[in-house]
Amino acid sequence: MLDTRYSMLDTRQACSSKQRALEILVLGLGNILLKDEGIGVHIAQKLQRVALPYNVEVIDGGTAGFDVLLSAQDVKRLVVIDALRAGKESGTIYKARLKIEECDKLEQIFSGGSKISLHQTGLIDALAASRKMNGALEEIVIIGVEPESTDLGLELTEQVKQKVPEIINIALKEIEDAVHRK
Amino acid sequence: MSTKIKIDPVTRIEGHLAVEAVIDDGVVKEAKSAGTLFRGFEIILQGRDPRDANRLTQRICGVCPTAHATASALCLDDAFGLRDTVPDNGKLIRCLILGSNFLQSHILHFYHLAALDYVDAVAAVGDLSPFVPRYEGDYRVSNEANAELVNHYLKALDIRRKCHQMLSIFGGKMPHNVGVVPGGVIEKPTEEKITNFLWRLNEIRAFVDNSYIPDVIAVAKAYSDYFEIGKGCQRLLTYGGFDLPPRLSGEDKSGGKLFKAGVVSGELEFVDFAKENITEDVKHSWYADSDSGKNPAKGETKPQPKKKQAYSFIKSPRYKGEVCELGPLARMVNNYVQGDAEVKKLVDSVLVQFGAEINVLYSVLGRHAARALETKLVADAMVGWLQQLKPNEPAIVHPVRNITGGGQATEETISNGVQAKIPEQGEGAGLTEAPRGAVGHWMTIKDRKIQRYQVITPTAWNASPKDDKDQPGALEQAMIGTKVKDKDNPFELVRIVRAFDPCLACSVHLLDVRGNESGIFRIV
Repeated sequence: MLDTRYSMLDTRQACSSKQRALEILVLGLGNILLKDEGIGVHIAQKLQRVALPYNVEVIDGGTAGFDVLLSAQDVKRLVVIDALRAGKESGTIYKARLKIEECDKLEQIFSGGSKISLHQTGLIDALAASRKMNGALEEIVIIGVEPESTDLGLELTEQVKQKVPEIINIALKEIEDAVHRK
Repeated sequence: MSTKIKIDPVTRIEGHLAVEAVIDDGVVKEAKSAGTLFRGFEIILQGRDPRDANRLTQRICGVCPTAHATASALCLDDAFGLRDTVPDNGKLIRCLILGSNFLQSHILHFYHLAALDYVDAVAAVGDLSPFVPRYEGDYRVSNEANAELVNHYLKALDIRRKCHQMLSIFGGKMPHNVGVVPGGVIEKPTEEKITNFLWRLNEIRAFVDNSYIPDVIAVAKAYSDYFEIGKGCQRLLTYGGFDLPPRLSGEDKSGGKLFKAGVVSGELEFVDFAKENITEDVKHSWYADSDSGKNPAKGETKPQPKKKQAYSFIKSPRYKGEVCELGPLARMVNNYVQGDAEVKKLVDSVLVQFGAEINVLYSVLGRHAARALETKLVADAMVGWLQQLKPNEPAIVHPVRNITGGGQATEETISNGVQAKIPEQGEGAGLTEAPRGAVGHWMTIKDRKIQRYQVITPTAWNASPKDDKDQPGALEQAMIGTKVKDKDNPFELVRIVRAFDPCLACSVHLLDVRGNESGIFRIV
């Protein structure tokens, strides 16, 4: 049976009645049923086993991750981890760091040219909405991982799996910087 | 002259529902609705521990994970023989978790997806962000009303946040809650949790009463021609949903449901529903023809992507061979026809404002109105469910304090301390309602492993392709005959599709920046 012991640690606090400002929210996105597509979730679930300061939150956003942005209370820094196709070698890790006022740039690069979104808020929409909702957000970091395969399957491919420690370190570094920056 | 137009509502994330219409003399003659991505998640479950279904099926979808959690738990209850032993607290909390998702989903649908087909946000605020891209429509709402609706759009974001918070009070997390498990739910109710839930719920109810329903009525008044558009197949199917304890449902000791199961025809004739009458055709779907005509309990998923005649990865579910529509409209009309006093009062109160009969609900606006009224029905019912909870009493089947030495989980632990044997072989079915319509899970267990798992989503019914008898699916039928003013800007069809609240776009959302990096991303 799948190990779900840690999952109760999850968004309870993000969604609790306690109003508190988070220094940093790490949001792992993806679908774990589609191999490397789930890399963000795999990383989030590993980070949740690390003892982190009270003002840090790690969320397994799964396939509805953008919605989580709505649930999160005031967050100063947001780190999104997801599979990202940019055409380099499988397992390549990409990083983008944007000030909140630079978010429009994301619009340009992610514009799929489609006129209409029938369902599901995309990352850009969610960010735009959370800017209106969440005055505290200052910076967004996107950590992308080039997938080898997004076919059906619960396991990461070897090329991506071997990058997991490195991705975790990058995320932990972000957390550390956010917590100590004052 | 006939023209083919294609509305490819590909989300920028990677969409999966494409709609094609053949327009002749300004009228839709033929329509095709196609799911363009293979979704054979059932295959992954084969050979796995049956309990994994509860965790994994939630990951199918980013919009209705809660409904899949509920359906899979019901399916496992059935297979494990726990169906009649779930305590009242467990039933009620399951309903509260699913109800929170209904409220969130319906409010999302109207304000953040559908309203922009009717409301000119650019005229109201001069800026589209954060609004989703749109077709240029005919906007008829006054500027003041536009501004009001845009304000409510922002308020609705906050209300949805509160819905998520409510869900996670009992569900542990959102998305992909971990609270709903076979045998009941993990979380016991406490007074603190009930209070935390209730104050959010009351704010949401106020929003539904004072904003959502009036806004839908305001839109309906400005667009009353949409009571005539998108009639559809006029056969409404519900599996029934929100399983309540006996004392709340007012039914026999097996309990009842908030939404009654049934099939209602265009003449408002009602017949009982039996799940054995469901079959799935695949003549026009990319699956092996040997799959066709099977009940989901015996269903197969054998993809065959190059099949001739096929145009969708969605199968064609049918009830006694007939096309059916699912969703809020189906639920409200089913309860109405079956004499539910509460629903009758709600529906009549709106119909009287338009001097209309119930059959106007078979329309684009009818679907929006039914969804709004259903939101109120569920939200108000949730108050009663909360009040029925017994704090600190179990919410799961006979919890076992210490299973074996040291409290180690054993094979016999179904979930959090619930002991029951996973049968050597068996079958289960879990049928319930998701925000956008009925959802069903079917499983067969062999050698204590999943041998077969089948899911039929509501959108599979609504957006299904033609069946083996070449009958178009519900959404296809709703489009056929529609007048399209401007084939380059077919907002009539967009409004029809949207009113069904289709959901296929959620399973993959890979970010894709190929050829467009703009120097923002650097390689680490």
